[in-house]
Amino acid sequence: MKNTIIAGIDLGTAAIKVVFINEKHELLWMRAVPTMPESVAGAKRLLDEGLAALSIAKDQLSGIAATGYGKRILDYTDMAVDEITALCVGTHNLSQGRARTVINIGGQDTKAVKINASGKIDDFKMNEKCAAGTGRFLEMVSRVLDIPVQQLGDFDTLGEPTIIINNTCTVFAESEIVSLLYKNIDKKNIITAIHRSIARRISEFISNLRVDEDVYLDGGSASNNGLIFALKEELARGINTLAHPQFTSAIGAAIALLKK
Amino acid sequence: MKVFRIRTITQIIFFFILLYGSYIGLRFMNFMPTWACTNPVDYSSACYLLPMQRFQYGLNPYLMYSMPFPGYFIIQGWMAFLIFFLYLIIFIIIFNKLWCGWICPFGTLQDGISFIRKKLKIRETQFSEKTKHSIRPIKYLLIILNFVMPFGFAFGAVAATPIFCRICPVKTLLPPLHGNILNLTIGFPPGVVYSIITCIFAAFILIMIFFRERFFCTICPICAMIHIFHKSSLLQFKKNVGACDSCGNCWRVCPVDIKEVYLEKKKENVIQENCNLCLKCIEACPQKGALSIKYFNKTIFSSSREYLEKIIGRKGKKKNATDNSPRPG
Amino acid sequence: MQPTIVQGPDKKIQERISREIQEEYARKADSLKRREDFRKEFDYFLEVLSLAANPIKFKERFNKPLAGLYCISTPLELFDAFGLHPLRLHCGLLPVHKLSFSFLPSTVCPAIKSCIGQFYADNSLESLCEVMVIANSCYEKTKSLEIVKDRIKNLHVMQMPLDKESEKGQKRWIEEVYELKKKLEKYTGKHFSRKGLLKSIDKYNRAWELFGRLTEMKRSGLISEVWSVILTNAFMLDDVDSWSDKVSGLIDDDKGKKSAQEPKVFLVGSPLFFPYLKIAELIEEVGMSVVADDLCTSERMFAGVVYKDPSEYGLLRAVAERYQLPCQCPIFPDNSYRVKNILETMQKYNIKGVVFHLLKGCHIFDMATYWFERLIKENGFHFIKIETDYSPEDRENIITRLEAFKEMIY
Repeated sequence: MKNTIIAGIDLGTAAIKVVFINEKHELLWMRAVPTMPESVAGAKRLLDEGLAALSIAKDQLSGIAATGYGKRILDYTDMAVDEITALCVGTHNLSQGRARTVINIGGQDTKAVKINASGKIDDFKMNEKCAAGTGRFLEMVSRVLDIPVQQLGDFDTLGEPTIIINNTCTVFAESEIVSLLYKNIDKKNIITAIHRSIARRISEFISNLRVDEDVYLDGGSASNNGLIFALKEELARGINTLAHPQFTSAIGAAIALLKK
Repeated sequence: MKVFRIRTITQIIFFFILLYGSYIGLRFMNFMPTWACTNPVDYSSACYLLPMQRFQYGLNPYLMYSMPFPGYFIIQGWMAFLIFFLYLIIFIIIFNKLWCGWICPFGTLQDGISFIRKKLKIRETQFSEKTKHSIRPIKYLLIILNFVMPFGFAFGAVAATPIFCRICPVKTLLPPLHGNILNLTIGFPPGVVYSIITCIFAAFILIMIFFRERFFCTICPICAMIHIFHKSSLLQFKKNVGACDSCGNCWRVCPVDIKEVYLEKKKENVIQENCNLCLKCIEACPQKGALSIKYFNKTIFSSSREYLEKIIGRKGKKKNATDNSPRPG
Repeated sequence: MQPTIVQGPDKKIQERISREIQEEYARKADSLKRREDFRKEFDYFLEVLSLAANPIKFKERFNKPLAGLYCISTPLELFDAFGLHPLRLHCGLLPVHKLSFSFLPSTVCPAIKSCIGQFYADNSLESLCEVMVIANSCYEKTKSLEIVKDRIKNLHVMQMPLDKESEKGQKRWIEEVYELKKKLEKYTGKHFSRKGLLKSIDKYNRAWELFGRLTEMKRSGLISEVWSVILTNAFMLDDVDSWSDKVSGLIDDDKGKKSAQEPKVFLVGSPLFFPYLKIAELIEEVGMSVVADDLCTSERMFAGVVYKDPSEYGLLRAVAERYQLPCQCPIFPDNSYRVKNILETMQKYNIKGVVFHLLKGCHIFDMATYWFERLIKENGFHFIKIETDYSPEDRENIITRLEAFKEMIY
């Protein structure tokens, strides 16, 4: 075989992500679809799509690595990589070894990983069974305010920090937002407050990690300018983003398999 | 062989050697820091404190029964004092307080009295922290009586009988074991008043020893003297604070009720001023290496769960063992 | 006026729940029997544990008045000396939680929910206990007994002094043990005998000796954490002599096996009660092995009784202090020995990481985790806190974290 091609599948709670990389860790193809009831079939379809786009057959693949909640469900993978390791490896590679701390705001989880110089996990935090401060929280906000998730950041930049939302519990925050809407508070200001509350939650969450350098933000929310700004203020650290924030874990899984 | 057995045997052997050894020609003189009163002249060893009280008068301890002129041998006496002091230091360097727990005949006598109490299942009297604290200065007062006061009278012609010996309770309690009951009689030198005081004091001590293990050791001036120099000894009692799980066994089995070892959270060297180095605490400690005794920084005996199991568990013991079986303490 | 007795749920619910309890025990026993490291000697312990679902059989088997205890700090020897069968009531059942919902806030620790739920279940050991003694190490649990006080025949609360290192606290605890002795004399109508207590002390000292062997086996990977928790849990229900006989047989058999090469971790935190073994099972599932723990239902069994004064007071003091001084429950304001011991063991056995298991709702344990984490990390070890409850749905989340933790300590 001429060149090695590895597929990385990230079966997340919000989206299924598939990437193809070569032995130089170059990204060949990537695609994400929202998680659906038949995620096993969905992942397969996405993988086939990628194979077709790269015009190679499945047996020409050197390996398939899976990560995310469904990593053990797929029977055709060569390796199941846990999400934190995948995130760590992916971030280390995508940031050319510069990243020391990465915060991933996923669909159901928030993860913060400290990475050492050799690209291994130094320490990490991951939320327990609670959706506070996760992507699900933002989705709820977008549903209640009727603003697409992608646009939350843009709205925030127009808002002013006039109100404070302390609740990070997704359920309680929802009723708080609704009551604010009844009071005719500007949506933009609500979004600013929401981003600040998430940032507070995250800073509380990583307080024992002792972050002392710039932080990389990863996951679907990494393109949210409002959140980045709020985090910058709250953590008093610079916030960087990676090139393809949604795919970091899938890339990480593929690289982990490549290294093995 | 378990440590408490070796210790008991050692104690009994030394008890007999130091008290009756002279019958087979053993004479150690009085340079050991032990309580063995000189009043019965037949002792193989004599009290260390007696000559220590006399040097300052210029008495040669080797000639102390020949009654020379006070002050005549001042230089010789001072030399002797220094030599005796050197003896003490050498003993401390080599043995630290092992003397107290393993050799001192008066300590053995106290252990014997406690043994009777334990057989009778009479409970030991508990002292509060406050009481223990108020007893503490007594031993230093006795040191003053031993050294500083004779020193003050050095050039005055004070009666030759040392001041401490006049009230010494050991003088009353040990010689009768040797058949010398003179000290129990009123009017025995140095006089009626002192002999009454001594008898009352001795009776008090005897009663206290019965109800509280090794009570005299908590007011013993020799123990305190050794403690002052204990740091120079090669033999050290150490605690590994990390291994301790604060079970308090060391405190509970301690004959002199030392709580500080169990409470210590920082220091390594934990020998306390009342400690007799009987090593019961090391025997009773269930944590490996938490307490140890070191010689030249080499561990010679340290605590371990296995050792404690041998004592209190059923290993090599018949079923339904009762309290007659050996235990530390 | 008669005090109103709080009524439990109706018969139908009762029946369903007792069926669920039986099923849960059976399911757990089955899954444990399918484990690779299952040995036929373990059958005995599983059987004893499953007896908890069959209280009538339990009573028949031990044929002694039962004394229900709620904390390891209640002096077992004393109960044994009075001819009672002491059992530490387990509170690891999930199905009985629903029986407690009408009495307890939902944020309370799952162990308390189980404990209260079991009181209202038809078939429970709680209803058979003649005496119920609780050392108030856990204030929530002590308070929760208020709900069920009409269902308890003889309740006795032992006040645990929080200053266990001071003279005052120690005196107080000895007084508590004397008080317990007096109460037990009243309940049983028997007189306290020194000889009887000595015999009990010997029995429990032997059990302590065997716990030492089990710990050694665990350190060298000869027995997994799951089984060692099960053995200890069985100890809390079983008669001490027959337990000791069975365990000594287990230990004699176990020589010459090779130890595991998996990454070693130290399990710290909230206790595990059969059938709730989630955290221990998950750690083993991701390929790490627990070689040491400080759970009060596993390794934290106090050292055997040592005394110097064989009088009645001396023995009672020794027994009292056995349960007070080494107790490292997080309720104490000064628990520095605990973390020192853990660090010492980790250094000695080359353990790289600490898994802090936390039952959701136990704030006291949770408060300890923060400075604990700091100290463990400062000493160059890894630390992970897993907060969970009896429900199985956070399995995947925990596995993910444990897998990453394994990567980290490798």
